[in-house]
Amino acid sequence: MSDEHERIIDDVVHALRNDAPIEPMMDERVMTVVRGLPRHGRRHVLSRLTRPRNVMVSPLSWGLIAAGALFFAAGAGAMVSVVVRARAASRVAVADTAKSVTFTVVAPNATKVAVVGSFNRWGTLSPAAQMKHQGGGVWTTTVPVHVGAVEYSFVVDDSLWMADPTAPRVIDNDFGLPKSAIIITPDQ
Amino acid sequence: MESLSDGAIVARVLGGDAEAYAQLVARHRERFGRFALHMLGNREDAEEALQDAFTRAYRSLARCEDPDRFGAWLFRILANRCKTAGSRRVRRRRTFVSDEAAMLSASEEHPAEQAAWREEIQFALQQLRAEQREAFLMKHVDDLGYDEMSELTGVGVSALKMRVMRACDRLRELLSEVHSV
Amino acid sequence: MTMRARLTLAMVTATAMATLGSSLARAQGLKLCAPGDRRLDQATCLAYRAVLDSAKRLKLPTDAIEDKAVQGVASESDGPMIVAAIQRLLTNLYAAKQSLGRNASDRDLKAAANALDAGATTRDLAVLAAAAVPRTRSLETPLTVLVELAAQVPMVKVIPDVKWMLQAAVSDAKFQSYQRDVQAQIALGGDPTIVANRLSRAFQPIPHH
Repeated sequence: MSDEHERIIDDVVHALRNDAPIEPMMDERVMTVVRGLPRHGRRHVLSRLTRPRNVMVSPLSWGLIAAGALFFAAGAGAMVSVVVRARAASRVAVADTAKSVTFTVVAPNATKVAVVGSFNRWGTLSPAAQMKHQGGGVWTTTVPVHVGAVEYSFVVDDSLWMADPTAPRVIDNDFGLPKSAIIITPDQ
Repeated sequence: MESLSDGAIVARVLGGDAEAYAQLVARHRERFGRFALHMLGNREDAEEALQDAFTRAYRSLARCEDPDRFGAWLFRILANRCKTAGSRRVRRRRTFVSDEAAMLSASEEHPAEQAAWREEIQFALQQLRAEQREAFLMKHVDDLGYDEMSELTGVGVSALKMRVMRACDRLRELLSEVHSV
Repeated sequence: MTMRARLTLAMVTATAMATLGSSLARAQGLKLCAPGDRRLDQATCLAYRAVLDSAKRLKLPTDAIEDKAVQGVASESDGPMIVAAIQRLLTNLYAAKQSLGRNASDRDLKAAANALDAGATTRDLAVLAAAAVPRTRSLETPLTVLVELAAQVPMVKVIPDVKWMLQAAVSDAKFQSYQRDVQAQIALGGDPTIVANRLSRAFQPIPHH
């Protein structure tokens, strides 16, 4: 019986080692995503703005990634920019106050766009997050944002999260969210 | 064309040659794909976890401290992905490797029997606690030493030995009925 | 982080979990677990409250923990991932406080935790804090710029650049324009490491007396 016991593990290991591996087609799927990410090292501003980008909602939602790729292909590349115009809340300078910040995004085929961050608890459904379409695919909103380092994302059509290509990108090791970072200064 | 070391390929990718990353993917896909497959019990989840690990590794590539040991670094990312993927998915009563797998692998036995045996193994593996399964796969299927396993998981060697031992005991227990000598 | 620091942290968290039963009615920062609007499962809520409790006891910014958990919910991540993320953040905040000192501001601590997450060491943080002129200046912007550059330049290269600029008493505004200049030069084809180094050296350190 003990011989048989030893053989069990050997046979298990043998079977496991001989399982058919993951097929090579997976490589191309990985590279499709990789090509849509910012390159390491050199960056070219023009190619970043015009090249279709794959963005992820969650790391494991391939259906949504495909939808995102279609979105960008149809919109001939979504150009996004953030225009930060802060107006002082009042004449009295207070150290840790909130500033009015205007976010602007160009997303031609979107039906709704929201900006989310710690200033609105990443709430895609909250009214404060919703941006207004100004025509020509331009969306804007002005929201109070706390002074200091701020992380934010744009959410298109309640499903597609995207970072701002013109702002520094935040690498999210925890949830894979595409985020950008800006620093709001008191005297902006 | 000579084959470059992992470190050399990483250097290229960091220099801006994104396409070079495909070589790393091709090189490590098989081994880590098997690990993910055995950790998660089904091909779909395994492919997702593996793809996700590769893309995360690409994004954080600048932070790989020892590019020549890219594999070990990627493994750590993959092991974490498997942990969270495993808890997210509902445990299936029967998990199975696809029929092609049974046909492709060398076997003297009747293909149907081999497929059934594989199914039993997968089911038994999924009965193990995740950390026991992980330790068992690393030790016996990937043939890693305990020191390396300790480095990859951050767990002490004696704890790892205990996990492997318990995994073997449990596998024997679960599989002795169906195992044919 | 030292073994001792880790043990302290583990003990505080364990104590927090043990006393949970006696302090369930905790309104602050628990909107994710409020009855009627529960966004996290019970096990995750338990862990979440424990981490918040630890943060409070250790005088670490609880809003950072909350914000991280909210991001986890917004990204539809599962309980274990959220718990892992907030535990990691707690550890990084604690390590940041060890490195920057007890009087470090919440904003400095949060930026320092991000820096640790991006690959800086606690020793790096201590070195940067010691280099700052004046000593009491905020490190939030320099550390945020550090993290942004570290996406393209190896951390071990960008630390000395930021240290140099701290010694030169570079203002927050100038740190930000430095970051923009570095990005612009990289976009034109410059080597990130060389550009970051060259532009940082345009500032002159204040001589020590």
